[in-house]
Amino acid sequence: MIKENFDIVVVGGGHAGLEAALISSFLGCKTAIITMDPQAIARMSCNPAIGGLAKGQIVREIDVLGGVMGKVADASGLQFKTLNKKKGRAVWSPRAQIDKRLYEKIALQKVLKSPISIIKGEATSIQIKNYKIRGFKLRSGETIKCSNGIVTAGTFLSGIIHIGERKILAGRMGEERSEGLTESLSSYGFRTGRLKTGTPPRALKNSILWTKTTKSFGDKNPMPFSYSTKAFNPPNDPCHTINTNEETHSIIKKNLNLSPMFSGDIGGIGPRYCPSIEDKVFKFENRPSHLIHLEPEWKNSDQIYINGFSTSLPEEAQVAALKTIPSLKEVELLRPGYAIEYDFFPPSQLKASLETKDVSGLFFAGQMNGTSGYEEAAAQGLICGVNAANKKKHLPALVLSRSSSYIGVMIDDLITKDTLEPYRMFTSRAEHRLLLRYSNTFERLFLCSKKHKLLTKESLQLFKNITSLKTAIEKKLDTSIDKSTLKNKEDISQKTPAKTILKRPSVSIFDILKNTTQKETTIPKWLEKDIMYDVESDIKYEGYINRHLKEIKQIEKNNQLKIPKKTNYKKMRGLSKEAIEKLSLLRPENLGQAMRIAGITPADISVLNIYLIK
Amino acid sequence: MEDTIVSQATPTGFSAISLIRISGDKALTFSRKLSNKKTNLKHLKPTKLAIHVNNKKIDEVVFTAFYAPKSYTGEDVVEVSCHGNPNISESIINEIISFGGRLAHPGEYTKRAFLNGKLDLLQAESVGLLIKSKSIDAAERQTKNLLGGITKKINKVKSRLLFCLSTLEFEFDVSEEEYLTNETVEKIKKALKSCETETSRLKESFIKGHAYTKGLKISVIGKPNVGKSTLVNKLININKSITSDIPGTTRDLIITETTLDGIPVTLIDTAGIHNTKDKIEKEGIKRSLREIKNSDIIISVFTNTDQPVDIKGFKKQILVYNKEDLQPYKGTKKTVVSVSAKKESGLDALKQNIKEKISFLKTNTNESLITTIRQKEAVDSLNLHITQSLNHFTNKPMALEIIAFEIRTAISKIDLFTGKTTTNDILKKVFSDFCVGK
Repeated sequence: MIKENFDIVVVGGGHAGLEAALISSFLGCKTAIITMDPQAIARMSCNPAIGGLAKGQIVREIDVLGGVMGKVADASGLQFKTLNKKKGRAVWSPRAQIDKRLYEKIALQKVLKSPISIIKGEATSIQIKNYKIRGFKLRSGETIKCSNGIVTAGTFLSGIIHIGERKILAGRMGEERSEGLTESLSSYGFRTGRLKTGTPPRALKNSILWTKTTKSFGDKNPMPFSYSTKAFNPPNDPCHTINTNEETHSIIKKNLNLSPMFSGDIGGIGPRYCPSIEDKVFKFENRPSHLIHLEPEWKNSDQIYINGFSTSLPEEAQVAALKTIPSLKEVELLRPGYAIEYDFFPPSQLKASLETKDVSGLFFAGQMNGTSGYEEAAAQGLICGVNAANKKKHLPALVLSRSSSYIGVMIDDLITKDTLEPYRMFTSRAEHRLLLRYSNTFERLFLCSKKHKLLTKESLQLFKNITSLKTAIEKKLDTSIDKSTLKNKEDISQKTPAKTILKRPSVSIFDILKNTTQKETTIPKWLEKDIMYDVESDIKYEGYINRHLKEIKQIEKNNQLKIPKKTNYKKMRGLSKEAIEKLSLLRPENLGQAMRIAGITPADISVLNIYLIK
Repeated sequence: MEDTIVSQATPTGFSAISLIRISGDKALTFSRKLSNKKTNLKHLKPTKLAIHVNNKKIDEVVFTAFYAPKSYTGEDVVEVSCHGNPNISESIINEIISFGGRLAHPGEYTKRAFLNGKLDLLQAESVGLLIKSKSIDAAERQTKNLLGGITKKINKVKSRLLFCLSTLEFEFDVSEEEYLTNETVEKIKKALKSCETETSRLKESFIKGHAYTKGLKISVIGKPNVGKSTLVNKLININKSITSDIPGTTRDLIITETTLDGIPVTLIDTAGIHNTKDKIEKEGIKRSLREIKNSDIIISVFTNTDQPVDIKGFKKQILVYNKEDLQPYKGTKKTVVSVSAKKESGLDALKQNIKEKISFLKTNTNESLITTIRQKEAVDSLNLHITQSLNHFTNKPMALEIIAFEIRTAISKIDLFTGKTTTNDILKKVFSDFCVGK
């Protein structure tokens, strides 16, 4: 029985909970995790991969902000691949296939090595007094007192699993759901909604005819997530691809009425970007085939994740449809695909610090904020952890701007936009995308990390070294060069500064600088290359970057115009009805946030602006 | 709270009826006081009532109330139609002011309509121009603009740009294919090119649009006493310029506004250009020269005894030989129009000639024109960013994200015209148009 008072209690031990607990403990706060299953800390409930389009960038941002996701993924990856390599340097997105079991193991080690207390139990209600959190009550009747609480309940709140017409009350397949917390929070005035997500079936490895599949490997020169990863030699185990066919589609169509999404059994709204196979067949009727990836769930795993075949059809229909694909003729499922419905709390109830607007010391992170994805959850957990700790120490909150990071974009989107479906990061959500490159993550966030003391001594030193290496490379490019210096036959009539030559689309920095002749050995080769590439990007994109910077200055002005907490929008003449409703509900913290609320027109903003200046 | 404002909506002076408009929170209360009526006027129901000022009945008028937000300004509005006597309308307005109202600033009704979300910026601008437009043709064009003629065109460009952008965003955010297919690249290029053509056309329409709203400037120039003022007077059929045989009678610019073929025209009668010691005349000549520079068309008048004034490099120039009644034109220049302003001969040919010169402005009435500098600037930079995005296709390697950036900037320029595009709009298109992979 734990009777102590905690500085910070984290409810839930998923990816959000893990980052939240680790960083707050690192920042010196007495921290506890309440979890229904201590063995399931950092469990990857869905796909066996970390990173990917726009998510890879988030993982690296987490790394610079003192989080662990990148480090754990680097240590447990089976293959690494940078996506969008041919489409532009700002959209490069690394992804890793992960050994789920190893990932969980390393993550758990990190918790065990820290002073964090793990409390096995189910938080069923929250205790709030005078708009301030006091603690959580467990199903066992025990009360855990805390000055700050971070709720990261994932899909567990009132979770319902759907497989065809079968319904199972659960938080994940085989794990109990959590009850009571939603009602408890609602009783304090929090708004809630329902969302759904899905996961594909898992097949038995030996039931697949592997010769009828196409192998796909990772990159030969893989790129790790974490800046602190030195020796990097991931195994590069293959994944396999197969294709559905018209027969597959006809079985799915025949069974559509048994899919709870189509029969209307599921009220929650599902993610458009991660459609079920039913959705794909229904919406793109004319497509003869869809691509499916077969991915191992851990090293030499007997369990294969059928990526691209997310479904809530009855199990028999799932098997029948899969068996129409030659390589799956004899497939046996270890677990059917399913859809899950769960409670979420519209995140417009949060401040940019992720603290709730109404209850002091209460923070929300992850899927219960309506997001999807391990990376999105981990990033929110990290921000909650830092801000709960800062609150405890009476320090200002860590708020990331939209121009600093994808995490900043995400949180700003969450608090200013109504989430109608699970929110996933996309690079197109970032209006200053050319600034938010994978390769300049350190530059964007290092100072912020330093200010909030999120880094170990070694990391701090590493980032200092990286920064000075970048400066050194830039300096070298100030010198003038002629034809003889360049590898390719560029036409240079007279000695010209290397920087100018580098602006030409066909010239790369590696044509000019063979290597950085860096004497220090603290920076690994892959990182040195990455930094050189980043210098090149800065130079090649200079004009565009400047355009972004100009816009940002304007936006910053609006962000600095604070809106008083008790503003009465009803009294503002000239605001549209919709604006009054939305602004009263969302209570933006500044004019910038108000501008980004859907349905608020420029006319509304000019009215609001006049009132704020007056 | 905003003041309740009042003003006369019809021109001042005697007329059959005058319309007074009251807008704001107190519009209904004020009307009640004005008419001694116990209850509020009903929405959209014209009501005939007597008005008393200082216990004296001054008129019987019709009140029409428009309840907020179903009114032009989005506020409570009452329109009072009284008889068109300036004394009546003045006392009504003064009564309203004594109740606590205030005289409206120019354009304030439209501004309120805009602030209350009743008009978008483009429509608000058009209203302003409609009130000020100088000919019926221009008014028609503005009406068209109000109905969204330009907005429609621009929206077409926008939907094409959105197609290009969503295709690229699909590549960045969803597709895990290594390359864009050539077919896709060509599709994007084709769409961008059509946007470029369309915006170039709009860009050019400004010259016309501007002329329609601001009017064309035509300066009549020449040496003293070649009959410039007589010619201008005959062209517009009134005696505005004082004419005499004494050279230098017109010492300052005389400006007349008229319409030609439905196009508003400003005719400028200038002082004769010659060497003079007269200070006033000198200043007049200086002004003439300045005006000539700013003109769209010059009518250069000369006679048998006075050569035309040479204005170098000016393209739209009409050479007019005057006083053919004294001595017929014997020169060989075919472009010269020979007239006698005094005897009114050759004037039709001259008018025809002017019409030809301004015929480039004659458009079919279906064409949408951009008319304000703000619109022009937005279209200019829209066009520029589309062109820049196209230029990037020739670079190797192709920086798709830069192309996307340029298209995004272009779309944001359109948003200046028509309203916000959110990333959600873009993503919505991605998810509805493309089969999303994993």
